[in-house]
Amino acid sequence: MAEPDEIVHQSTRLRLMSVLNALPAGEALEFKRLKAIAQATDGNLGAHLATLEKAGYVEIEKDFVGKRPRTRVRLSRVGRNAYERHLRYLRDIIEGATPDQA
Amino acid sequence: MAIGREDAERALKDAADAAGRSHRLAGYRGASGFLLLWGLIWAVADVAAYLNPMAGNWAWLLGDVIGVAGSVALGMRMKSKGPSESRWRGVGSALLIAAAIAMLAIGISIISPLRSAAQSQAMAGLAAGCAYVVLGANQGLRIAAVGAAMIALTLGGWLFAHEQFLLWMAAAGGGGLVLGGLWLRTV
Repeated sequence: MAEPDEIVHQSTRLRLMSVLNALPAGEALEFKRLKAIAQATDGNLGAHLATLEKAGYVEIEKDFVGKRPRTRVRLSRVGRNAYERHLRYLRDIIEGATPDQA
Repeated sequence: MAIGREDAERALKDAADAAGRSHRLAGYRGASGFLLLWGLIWAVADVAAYLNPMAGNWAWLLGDVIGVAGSVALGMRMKSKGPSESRWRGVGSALLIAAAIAMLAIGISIISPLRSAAQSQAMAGLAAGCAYVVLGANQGLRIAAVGAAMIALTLGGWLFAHEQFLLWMAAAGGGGLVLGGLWLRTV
């Protein structure tokens, strides 16, 4: 039976992971685009990404394009598995396979 | 960690919305390559046709070969999670659009033969515009908007550009596709 994942479940982090999970495996997204697509208004976006990185769910790359700094984020395989597991858990709650914990 | 049914439903909806936006924007990125490629071919071939009709015929023949080969290559490059399946879907979509436009062109030439390069270009502009509108209904409204703009520009050129129609189509058809391709990259 699937288990809840507190790291994934937080709403901003869930949106971030949903956006990254929809990309082709291994593909990275620039921080600015990720923020826009996830419609993340949370000023603490950097902290959320740091949390995901610490859990091994995302990989963050920093480099330069010319003189412009660029931050890119990609979902790791561990992160993809954790995301899919958590979504399965949520579906189980709705379908009644997992007891409602509220 | 307590997650209720409503919370689970809300989370799943948020996740689906975010994934949908991500898919749509990835689709725009993929489509932009096709628009840029065909826009450039269109602009060059129509300028050639304006300057010299025979050169225009050859430019379009060569352009079509480059365009089809380039479209297949772009389709192959479109990676996705369902690995080869999606790649072939990209190639398939590009070929399907090309085949639909070719069939329309053949059908029109049988029913009502086109007598000038301008007529051919006008029909090509309308057919390509319609194809993008149909594609956009499925892939995202920006692609449909590019198709609608192409139709409007083609009809506008036909009504008002007269002798300069091929030049108009090079700028409006080819240039419009290039601008449309760049526009899709801005999201």
